[in-house]
Amino acid sequence: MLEQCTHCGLCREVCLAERLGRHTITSLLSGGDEYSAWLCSCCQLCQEVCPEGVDIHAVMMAGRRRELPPEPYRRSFEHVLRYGYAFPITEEINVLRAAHGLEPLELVPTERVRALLQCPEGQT
Amino acid sequence: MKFAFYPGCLVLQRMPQYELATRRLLAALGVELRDIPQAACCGAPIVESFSGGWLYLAAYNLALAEAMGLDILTVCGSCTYTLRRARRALQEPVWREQVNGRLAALDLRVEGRSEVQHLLQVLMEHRDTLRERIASPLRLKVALTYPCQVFRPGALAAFDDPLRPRAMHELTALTGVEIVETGVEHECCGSTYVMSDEPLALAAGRRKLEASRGADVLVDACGNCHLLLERMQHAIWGGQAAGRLAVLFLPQLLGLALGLPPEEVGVNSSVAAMLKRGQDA
Repeated sequence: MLEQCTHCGLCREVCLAERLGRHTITSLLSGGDEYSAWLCSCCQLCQEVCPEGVDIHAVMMAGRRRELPPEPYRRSFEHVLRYGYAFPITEEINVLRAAHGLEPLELVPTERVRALLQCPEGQT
Repeated sequence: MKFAFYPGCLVLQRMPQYELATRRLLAALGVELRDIPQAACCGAPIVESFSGGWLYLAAYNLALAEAMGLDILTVCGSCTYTLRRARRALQEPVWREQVNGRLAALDLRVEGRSEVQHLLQVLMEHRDTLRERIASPLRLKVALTYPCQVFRPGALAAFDDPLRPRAMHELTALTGVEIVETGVEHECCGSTYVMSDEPLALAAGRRKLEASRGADVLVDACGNCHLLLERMQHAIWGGQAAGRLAVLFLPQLLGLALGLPPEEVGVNSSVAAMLKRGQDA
């Protein structure tokens, strides 16, 4: 995915993590090890300015799958498998919705999400 | 005009006022929203960070809307981006068939017909109506923050300028408020860092809020931005109440300008009172 990269550094100039003194894409490109793909904010700014059209989002997502996930991400992924949403949304949500004058929601059956992600019950 | 409404997990769970304001404002503009029964997480970076299965989840939501014969309306940046990407992937016959192979088990099929539009796009299409309907201009100073993924990548979004969009400026200006230029309105808020490095998220949020100091209200159009800039503002200021800035969703501000009662657009009484003071000053 990185074959087209010419190391021009434009992605570094626009990256929010870099401005805040941290490293994501640039250290990966320059071979550094103090980076985390989890610090990509997915703002797509680097993607927009990259003159070579590198699919940086795909590079970051592949990086995340190699690194250990931060706990909140791991938990949210489990929520998706268990509830179908990134939060533990259950029928109780309709009580909250009614209090705000919103119609009840028909929730997704979990089996549907597991079938889509091909995860049998009990496996994450 | 009619849409299949996709609020997304974050707004469903934590921001009913955004959903409410969107529904009331669009109803006032004659735009009908239909719920998508059994819609699920879009697969946005959370699922994609772990699994290529995100595409099937996103395509599932597109399939539900397609079965309703409607385009999708979103209100957050990452759902917008993810569903648009899935729709683009489905234009490739190889991906479409692979996805449909799995959707068949749920008696669903997707062609990628339903378009994905963020609220801002629909509001821009109705700006003439908004201009006509705003009776009493608001006398407030407003700072803005743009949802990144609604506009980028430009080749996917095909809406406004991907680096310096103007849609929120144009829509906000209709209310008569004074727009305070912060210099960072187009930069990412950093809200996703809440999940990976909270101190970094707070530093990013502080940067945005400090740049917005001259305003009475900061206006956003994404649940993620709101999560950091409004819900976590207490932590951003280190627990100090001083300096707290009111943050509203754009449909709340527009709803108030149309004369909708604050409770109808999910604006709580203390913020409504603050806005009224600004109005009366």
